Amino acid sequence: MAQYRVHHKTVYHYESDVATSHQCLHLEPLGAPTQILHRFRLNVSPDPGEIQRGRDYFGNSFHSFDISEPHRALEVETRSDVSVLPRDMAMPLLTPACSEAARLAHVHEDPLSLTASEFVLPSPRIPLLREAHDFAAPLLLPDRPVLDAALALCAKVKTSFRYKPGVTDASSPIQTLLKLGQGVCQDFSHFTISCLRSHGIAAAYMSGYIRTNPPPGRPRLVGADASHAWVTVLVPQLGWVEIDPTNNCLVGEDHISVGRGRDYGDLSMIRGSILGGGLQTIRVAVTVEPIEERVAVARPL
Amino acid sequence: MLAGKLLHGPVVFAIHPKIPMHPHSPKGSQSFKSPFEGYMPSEGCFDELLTPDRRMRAQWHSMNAQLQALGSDGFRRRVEQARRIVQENGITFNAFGEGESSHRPWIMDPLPMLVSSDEWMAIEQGIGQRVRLLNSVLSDLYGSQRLLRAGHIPSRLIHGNPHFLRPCHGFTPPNGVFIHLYAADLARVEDGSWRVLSDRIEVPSGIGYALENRFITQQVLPDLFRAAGPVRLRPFFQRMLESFETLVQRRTENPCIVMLSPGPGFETYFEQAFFARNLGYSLVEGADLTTRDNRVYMKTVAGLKQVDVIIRNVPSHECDPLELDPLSSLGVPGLVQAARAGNVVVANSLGTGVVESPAMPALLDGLCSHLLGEPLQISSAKTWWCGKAEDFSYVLDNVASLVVKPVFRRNSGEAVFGHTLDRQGIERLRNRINADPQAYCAQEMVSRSTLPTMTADGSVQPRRFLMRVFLVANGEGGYEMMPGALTRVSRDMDSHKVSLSDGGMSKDTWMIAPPDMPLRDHPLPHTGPVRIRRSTAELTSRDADNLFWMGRYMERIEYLGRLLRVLLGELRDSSGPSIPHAVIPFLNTALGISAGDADTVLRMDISAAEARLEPLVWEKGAPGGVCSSILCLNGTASSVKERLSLDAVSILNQLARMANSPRHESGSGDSFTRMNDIGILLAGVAGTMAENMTRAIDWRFLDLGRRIERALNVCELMLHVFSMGEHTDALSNLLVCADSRYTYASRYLTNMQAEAVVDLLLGDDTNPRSIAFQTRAIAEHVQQLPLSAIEEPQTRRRRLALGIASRIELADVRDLLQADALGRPTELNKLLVDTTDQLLALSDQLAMHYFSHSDKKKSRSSRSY
Repeated sequence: MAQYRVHHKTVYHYESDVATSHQCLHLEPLGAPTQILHRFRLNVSPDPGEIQRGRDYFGNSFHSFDISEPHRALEVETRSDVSVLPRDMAMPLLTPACSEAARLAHVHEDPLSLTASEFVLPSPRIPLLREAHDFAAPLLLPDRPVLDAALALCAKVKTSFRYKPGVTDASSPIQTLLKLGQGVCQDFSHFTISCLRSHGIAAAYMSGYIRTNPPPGRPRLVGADASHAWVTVLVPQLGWVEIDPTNNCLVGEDHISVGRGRDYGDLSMIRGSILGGGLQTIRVAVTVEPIEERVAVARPL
Repeated sequence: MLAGKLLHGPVVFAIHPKIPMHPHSPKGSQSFKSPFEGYMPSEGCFDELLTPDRRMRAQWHSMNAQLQALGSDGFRRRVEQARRIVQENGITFNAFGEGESSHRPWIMDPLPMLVSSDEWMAIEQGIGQRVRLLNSVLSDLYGSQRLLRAGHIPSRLIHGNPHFLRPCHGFTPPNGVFIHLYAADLARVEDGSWRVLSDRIEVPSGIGYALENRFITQQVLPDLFRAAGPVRLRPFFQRMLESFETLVQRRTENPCIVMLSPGPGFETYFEQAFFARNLGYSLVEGADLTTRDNRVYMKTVAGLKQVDVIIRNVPSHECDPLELDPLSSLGVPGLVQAARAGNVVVANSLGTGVVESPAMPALLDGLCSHLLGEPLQISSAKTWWCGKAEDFSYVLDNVASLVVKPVFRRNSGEAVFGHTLDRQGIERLRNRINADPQAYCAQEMVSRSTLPTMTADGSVQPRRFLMRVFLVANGEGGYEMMPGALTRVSRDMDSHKVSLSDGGMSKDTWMIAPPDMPLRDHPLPHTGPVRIRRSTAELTSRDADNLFWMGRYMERIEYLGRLLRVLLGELRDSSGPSIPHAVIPFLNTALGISAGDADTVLRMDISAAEARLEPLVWEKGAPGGVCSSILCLNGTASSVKERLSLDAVSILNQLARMANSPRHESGSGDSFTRMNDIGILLAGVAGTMAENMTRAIDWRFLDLGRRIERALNVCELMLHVFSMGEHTDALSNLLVCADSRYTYASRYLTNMQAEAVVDLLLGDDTNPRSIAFQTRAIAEHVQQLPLSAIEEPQTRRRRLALGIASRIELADVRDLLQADALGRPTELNKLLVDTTDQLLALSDQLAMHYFSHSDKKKSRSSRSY
């Protein structure tokens, strides 16, 4: 088990007064079954009064608030203490075949069936692209164990595209990654999901954090200074198994999950609608500190 | 499949095109031929008028007797006369907007569709069952999803449906009612039974058009209306009002129910405005509403007012940029949360569009017996969903005889009628279905019954039709159907398409009760004693803004008209090539040349000046010209149409048509005549408004705009005239431009003196054209406008308005006219400049306090790396 303290601060500066601001946050880390959330603090400035907390369609918690006094800056700060529980490490080679994973959505008796049928469909930001299908076709072979194949897909994604912040933005479609050959975790994850779904394998988008500094002797993970995104695959009998195409690894105790959804659109950490404000600048700072040092289980492949 | 085409908005009402008189009927002679004589329905097709053995159905007897008494020619005369009345009265609706393409005639056949009351009740029961069924399906989909788990509804049709809104999952609206207002298109097949062709749930449009048809028919054929005795619509609307009122969750004396519209740029705006006006609800746009602490408020000139019920005409996914589509600017951020918290009721509920999918009818039979334990009373047109293997192969084999539709309406194409395609077209369609079978469904081609219809050549012929019926929740778990409908007929006998943009027509629909049969008892509701009120619905900030600018534009156009008439007249009458001195200040004003810049005009000769003035009269693109101002006027007017009288709307439409028509199409093409015509129309608008608007707060904003604009214009004119050293020549023109020449002449005859002119135009508060008259009215209006809850009475805007008025009233004409070395009255000029500045500052103050809503919302989200 790994324990972390996550500090996430986002500051918006506006060029002119914002008259009213409505914000919706997906910032609270998940609890059971994979994590324990010991403490969650949310501070918003200027003070919005009451902050609503709710649970979304996918079971993630969210917060929402509105500010109706004029302001030039908005600060959203969270502090979370989370334990990431050790997972039953899946043996990739022993998982059911891709063809079986692809059948899940059609077997009404299987308890995973309804979930599978929802997550094999294209979603607003993840169309099922021909390119994605062809990219994954040599790997997602019907007889190959699904997790083994999915990890091979991660490896191929990692080697085919370059990680480079700043070339894509939050609203970039997958096509941009394909065109430029570079992008960030969100693009890598969206593309990987498109590959899996286009072969009938249910896959979801994960949002969260990874630890800032690696344990001694291990390389620093990519995407550590900001929020992070990865992928989870629905494996028959096992349920969701998380993989990280940006770091080409099976997810272990280095990842802190905040939410699971169809794509980025379901989970954007701070989503807002403001009246006024003019140009705005955003500064984000994320630190993820282990509270109790111990050997993490992420396995680079 | 038809909605996209059917209700294309901005619509011009017109009775059906000219009906020729019978060529052989001598004048004055009477013919007793029924218009139905010679009516021949096709074999094997159900006809609404005649039975297969050519006997007239009972519900038409009384109508037929009336028509016979009227005679065939009499009827035609009536229709012709009605057409003329409609044209003369300018019964046109929503021809606002730029460009001719927005003027679409709503062609209407006054001969109604008749349905007997027992049949009507059977339809009401059947469709009522259907809506209850759809409502329970919604309640499952947005709740436990048992139907999905058990496979009764394929996941793909819900989870892949863009109308399934996940943020709305898990909350139940009051009494479990998701659908409050419902519409369906029905057709009758050979055996006389009805089929549902499509459900309208997301935004059930058409009710406003149905109402319009009723009003027109009633006006055109009052005797038929009385004799045939269709059931009245009013009680239904009364119960609709009550039904919406039961949704109010708050205990309040004065609940606020609004109708949310996407705005005048959208095709169904016309009928929404009409519908709202009939129900007496405020028609609002997203920007008129705001949410705070999970409550929805309307921004009114008197501050925020909590909203209890929103009747939604905006597609669900566009209703909340925060939780739904972030790119939409039509919604209200936080609306979903407010609805979840139970502080506002949205009707129909957000996300109801998910069961509107054209594939849904394929499942309804099964769902009905599963959920309601009874068979579906009125079938849907048979439907196949290609996501099911056997349906898929059936559709592929029979494409040519089916209507193929995309499963989800959003961002997908229209319905394709297989029988209209050639071999290649069929092949292409097959390939499209093959590529993504789950995205398509198909419907049988229903053979529709025919209905007597007045055709373009004046004869009555059988035409196929669709009938759109409307139901409203009755607050007790059931639904009540409007005793009228929107019937649309095809252009020719063979056509199955009933598209109004394609030459189709619409008809009123009457429910006819036999005289001896008592109608269902609808006692008038006991509402208690009425509370006398002298103010109507709240004025939203946006409406106030629009009324204010409407006032300003009306005045500006009127002023421009007089200015241009003076200029064109003077230039036409002058002898030499150079511009007369008395014209220069007015030319400067019209062309926007500053008074100090004398050279520009001095270098111009008469033809050059005329060449620069003509575009101001004729060209839409000329900034500061008459046409562009008229279009601006119409833009503002279209947003507050439900506050204007029909006469005013009709005159405004005429003005817009003038502004839009090019010079070569407008009669003589003479600029002077045109400015006269525009002036007369404007006086008409101003007159009907002055006589029809109650002197409530909306009137104050309109009049404020007008007064401020007029004061600014007189200041501008006087400044131009009096900054010339030698100004006496121009005084007479000044009086004409300020519309005060006759007043002046009646007092001073032809003795033109600067003091007298300035007194009349500046300080004389009995002259409705003087600055003093305007500033006094402005101060009075500003004093009467509401204060916000936190304001103290002495606001800046009130002080400002009073200051302007008193300075004008205290000014002494002779002091003002003291000339400087160059012969210019510096005090007067200073007063005019200051007054202008202060009026503009006042205008800004008013905008800031009462209209501040216009800033566009932006949605942004953070991102991960």
